[in-house]
Amino acid sequence: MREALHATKLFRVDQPVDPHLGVTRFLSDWQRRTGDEPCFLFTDVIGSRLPLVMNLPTRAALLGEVGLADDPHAVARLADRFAVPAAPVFAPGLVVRDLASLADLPLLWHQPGDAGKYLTAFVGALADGGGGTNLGFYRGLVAGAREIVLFMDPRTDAHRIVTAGLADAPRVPITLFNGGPLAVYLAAAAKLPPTLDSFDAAARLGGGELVLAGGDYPSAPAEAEIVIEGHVTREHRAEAPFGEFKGYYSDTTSSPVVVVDRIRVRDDALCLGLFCGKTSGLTLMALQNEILLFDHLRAAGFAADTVRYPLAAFGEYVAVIESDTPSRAMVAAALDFDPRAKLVVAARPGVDVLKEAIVFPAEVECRPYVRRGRQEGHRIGIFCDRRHACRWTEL
Amino acid sequence: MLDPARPTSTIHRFSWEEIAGLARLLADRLVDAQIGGVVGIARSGLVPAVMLSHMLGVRPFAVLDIARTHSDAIRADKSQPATRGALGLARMRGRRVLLIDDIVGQGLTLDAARRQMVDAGADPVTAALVVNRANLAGRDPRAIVDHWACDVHGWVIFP
Repeated sequence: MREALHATKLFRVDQPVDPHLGVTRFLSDWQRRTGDEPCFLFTDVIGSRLPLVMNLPTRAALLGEVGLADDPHAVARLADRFAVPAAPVFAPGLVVRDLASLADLPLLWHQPGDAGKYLTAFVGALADGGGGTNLGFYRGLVAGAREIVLFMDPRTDAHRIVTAGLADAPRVPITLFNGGPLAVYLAAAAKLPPTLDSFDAAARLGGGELVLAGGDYPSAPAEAEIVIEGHVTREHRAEAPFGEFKGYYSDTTSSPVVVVDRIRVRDDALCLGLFCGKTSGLTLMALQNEILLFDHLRAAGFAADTVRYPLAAFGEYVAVIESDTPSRAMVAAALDFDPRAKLVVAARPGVDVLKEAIVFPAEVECRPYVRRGRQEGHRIGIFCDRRHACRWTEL
Repeated sequence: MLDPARPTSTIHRFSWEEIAGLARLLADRLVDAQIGGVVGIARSGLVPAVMLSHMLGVRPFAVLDIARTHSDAIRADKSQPATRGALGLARMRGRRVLLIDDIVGQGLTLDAARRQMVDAGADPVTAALVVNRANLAGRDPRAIVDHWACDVHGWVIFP
């Protein structure tokens, strides 16, 4: 994270800002007024001594921190790295100062209809039972000075791990950390194979040494800014509504309570925040989707130049495959691999895919779209392979 | 906060929209600062100075022309700041004035300007749109400038 901060233009907001809607209103107003989402440092979030960083994980920041800034083949490079195991190493962490309460952190109430203040940019680490660690992003409702109601999607490995753990014991250790290498954030956002250790994946993607701090709880990166150690319990409480990344409120869930045992921060800690639905949050989702689909297509024998998941489709629902040899089979393979993708388009590199599909003949494949076990409309694959040359107008 | 001694080759480009946004950030911070005059450091400090003058509704305006770089090129050679001229400084006597430049690195220009303002009988509050921490040699920016709106570690290209 600090590598990325070092490389960015960091806009400062030094006047006091209210964590109750004040920060998100400021960011939203700025974006509406300027059309831009610069990285902001809020140095005075009311109630906390920790500065808050917002809008950091853009594509440029993520790729810059993993050493692939301006690389047009960054997705391919990341997929290359993904194939090479890179075990993390261990060293003492930099978090040295204890905080008494979650209220000491600059945690935000993001949207007017949210159920409360939420953790959005903390990575959850769970021991996966096989000696590895499972990382993921979970929204966490601040329910007290040392209590969090943590929502885990029932379809995730984390939910499976916690459910299995609570069947055997009354509580499951969990670490929630903030900051550290952004490659870890990328790995945490990724839908990795359950057999792959998330920190191994992060070390691969980062392309350098990943240093972890171990202990009695699941590990966190040694460079983490904030580390919350606690236990997931069998107690459930209501959480949500919460303004999701797609721009609407999620329904209330009954989710497990995490009892916080310890909160530690670096002496010079910064807190990274994510505003759901904005570029910084969507980019993590998009980039991990691109790496995984690219890797899958390549392993299946398809020659893709790159894969894009446009942020306009929330980094999830539209996949664009650029290839010198696009094919119907390539589109089918992508539809098979990513069941969340509603629209998959394969076309030659550098073309305007919408224009290609509209102006020239395109082949279409249609499949049922299944969400939570029920069909909801259809998914579409489009294969564009214009074989005759054409000269586009210039002006 | 970040490692100030770390070398960097990053070049940051700013748009006019970003410049206006940074000026607005400074104005929001200074709105209650009882500013009675604005002094821009020519050339480039005049852009934010005029913006802040309007945003804060402060009409008294002065110009300090201080030369430091030898050209507009990236990584242009620099020399000790030299004052080439001044306009309207006498009006600033007895006022709390906002002394502003576009960017601060080592702070020599701003320091020279501050001393001139004090000599002119004004009470300067210093500000810059951007601080280039790569040039601070580990110093806290607050030792150089009172208010700034953006941190970078590298060279800056303004529009």
